[in-house]
Amino acid sequence: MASEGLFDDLRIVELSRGAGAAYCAKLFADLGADVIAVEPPGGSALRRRGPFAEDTPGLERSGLFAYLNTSKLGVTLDVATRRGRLMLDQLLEGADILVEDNAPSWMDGAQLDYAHLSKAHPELIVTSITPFGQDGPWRDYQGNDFIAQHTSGVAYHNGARAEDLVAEPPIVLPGYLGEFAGALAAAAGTMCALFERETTGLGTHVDVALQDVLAMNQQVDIAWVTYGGRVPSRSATAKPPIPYVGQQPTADGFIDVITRTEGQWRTFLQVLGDPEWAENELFKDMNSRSQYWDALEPLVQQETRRFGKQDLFRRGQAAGVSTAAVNTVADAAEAEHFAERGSFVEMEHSVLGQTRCPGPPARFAGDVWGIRRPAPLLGEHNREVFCGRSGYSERELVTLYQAGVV
Amino acid sequence: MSPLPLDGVRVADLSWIIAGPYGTYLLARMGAEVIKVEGIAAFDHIRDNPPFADGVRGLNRSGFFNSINPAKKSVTLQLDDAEQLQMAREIILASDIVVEAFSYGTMDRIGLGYEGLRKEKPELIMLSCTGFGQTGRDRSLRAFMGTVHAYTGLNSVNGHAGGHAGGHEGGPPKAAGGTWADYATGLTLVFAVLAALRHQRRTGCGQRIDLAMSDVVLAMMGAPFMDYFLNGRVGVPRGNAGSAVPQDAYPCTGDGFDKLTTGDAWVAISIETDEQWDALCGVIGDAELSRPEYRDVIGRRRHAQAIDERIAAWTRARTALDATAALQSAGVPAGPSSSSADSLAQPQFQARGFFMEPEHPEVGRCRVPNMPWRLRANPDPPCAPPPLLGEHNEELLGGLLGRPREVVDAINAARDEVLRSHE
Repeated sequence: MASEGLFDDLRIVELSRGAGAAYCAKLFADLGADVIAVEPPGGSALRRRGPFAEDTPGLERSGLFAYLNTSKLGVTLDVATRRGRLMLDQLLEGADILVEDNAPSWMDGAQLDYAHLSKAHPELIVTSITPFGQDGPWRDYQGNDFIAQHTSGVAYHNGARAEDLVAEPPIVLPGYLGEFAGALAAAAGTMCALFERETTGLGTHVDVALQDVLAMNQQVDIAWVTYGGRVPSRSATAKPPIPYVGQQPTADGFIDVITRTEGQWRTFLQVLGDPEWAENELFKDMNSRSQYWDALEPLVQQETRRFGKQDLFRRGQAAGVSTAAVNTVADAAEAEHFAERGSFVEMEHSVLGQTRCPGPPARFAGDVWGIRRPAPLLGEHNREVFCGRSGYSERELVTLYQAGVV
Repeated sequence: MSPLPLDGVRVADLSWIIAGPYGTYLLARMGAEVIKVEGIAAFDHIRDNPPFADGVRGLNRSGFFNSINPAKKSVTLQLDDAEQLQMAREIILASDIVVEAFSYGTMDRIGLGYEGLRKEKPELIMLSCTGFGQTGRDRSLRAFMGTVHAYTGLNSVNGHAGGHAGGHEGGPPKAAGGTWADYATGLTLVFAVLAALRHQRRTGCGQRIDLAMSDVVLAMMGAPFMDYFLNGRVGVPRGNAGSAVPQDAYPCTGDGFDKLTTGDAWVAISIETDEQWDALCGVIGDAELSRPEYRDVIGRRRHAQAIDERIAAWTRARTALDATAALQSAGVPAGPSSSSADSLAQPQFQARGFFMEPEHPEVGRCRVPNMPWRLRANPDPPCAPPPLLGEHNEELLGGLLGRPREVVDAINAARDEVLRSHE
């Protein structure tokens, strides 16, 4: 358990709907920031996202919620009511940052738009994560992780090398990865806002559009469009610009191979046992291999199928080629390297029990990162926060509860 | 010009390819002075990767390099030369932050290890960016982002679902498209070094950061890993399927963008609530879809295939942009599933000025994606072009380090030789 964090002086309020704001605030919370996650009285939408323990839904059973809300305090508040809005303002009074991922129109409706917030709290940094951003013609378009992955180009290119363009539509990366990427950008942008505030003394609005964040992933293709005049196609018959070998079948799964240089390609052929086609004139250099990849790939596969995935992975790496077994989630969760590194950590939760979850995305020297407390149960810290910090009496809290405000 | 958040921060950048350079690009756009230390022979070898401007090879002409490295300075130093290694060391010690992406142990071996540097500058922040980190048995693996996507299990849960796209059985794993781990790692790099810098300014303490692309990806895979830890389930690819139903990309007659097309066009639709379903039915106006058994999520999941076919019958008669406009006007989450080429013409990207075109001294126009976050006071910070190889040798070796003219000339001559040999 970490004792002293990097952010012990920071106070953050979170109004989250999805994984974006929740992961962003977690990045700060696990490094010591005081984070209050504010949920509607019925519970955050994230509590209704699986996976659920034993596949049994329940507000306290979402593994994703438990993972994304470590080290936070949790309160319930209906910010659409006048009293609820006032109580939120009281929380924002001493806060440095508000992190949220609601629709701009919803924030407008609750008078939580930046104009209102900055007037009441000029030093507050407001970090907003939305599918399309705070301006432009699509500002109020409905969207989510799925839609943003498609409009950004991530899904289109993730569905690349399709055998049948019609039967295989563009596909998203799994597990709300787009929202997680948005959270990383939001955390980085929020850090910049903190530096800006050091000189200006003022807060700001950090505008993170998921499709902007995700479009970076296509930057190589965009360079091809700009300089090469080549329109990227998803078709399997389209030649890859540089054949890196890529994912190939083995006896018991798949292997991923990246050969960036002639030397690495030669070495990989040696690992495969110097097949006789290796000397074929058609495959002599990168350009030629790219041109004849359709003929070459089946020959490569014939060789890779002779090995087990972990065996070929280790042989390739030992020879100096970037190979990797295509691990399952179980392979990765039990990998000795990750165990030695502590890439997964223990997590205690009163409903889910003792379990594991992914650890820190970046490691600092010293004991600064850690799960400081399990994810809050619904409204777990209402009393601590509203009575202890905002000064409501216990009787008032009961009244607020009965009125549906908390 | 309004001040930038990182004005006055200097970063020595010994990283290459994508992850490190993307992170330092973002730092540079936020005002940091980023000094890219490139070997004369061991330059950032993305410089020698196509596509090249006008199809002409050259270390200053790679579109790949030029789009990730704007707003930085470049200095060429041979780290296997004692005198030039000393100059690199001086640049590092004159910096607040050093970012390096050598394989494990290299910085120690060449004499630029953290322990040595911190003795001279205790407040230095050093971040090492590798595929698998500074600890653990596989820390020395040769890793690119594809290696990380495979090893972490990401590829094993990525891909089309087996059978129908809305089904549940998994298809084969698919190498994650784009360059996922690299960009996520670049973003994490920014967060991590700025967290350390803020702490340093408060306490005077330096910091050593171990950034592994694998850890970045594992931490993003909360959903599949929690399913494994809580339920023992080993995830499989599920394509576009999710908790929203219907949810898929549906074929269109064309994309509706005015420029480049790719031969296939799709509109993505994701129905999260019964209200959105009713709105979708209203837009499509297909009596088949108005069946009472489709009105809740259980019924829609049971009849997913029949529903998908009716939606596709409607989308096939429209462009992706027209379908999007019609659905969004009724509040239905939808959007074109765009190729990168189409992204350039997308109205929202255009309105936000997402694709910039700074002037490059050698190749003219180059295209750079804008910031992944915008600060209200300065939404479009300046973007100087990417540096030519060794463009700032004189400014930094002569100016900052005060080396005499002939030393700089000799390094420039070696640099010019490398440029010529890569034309």
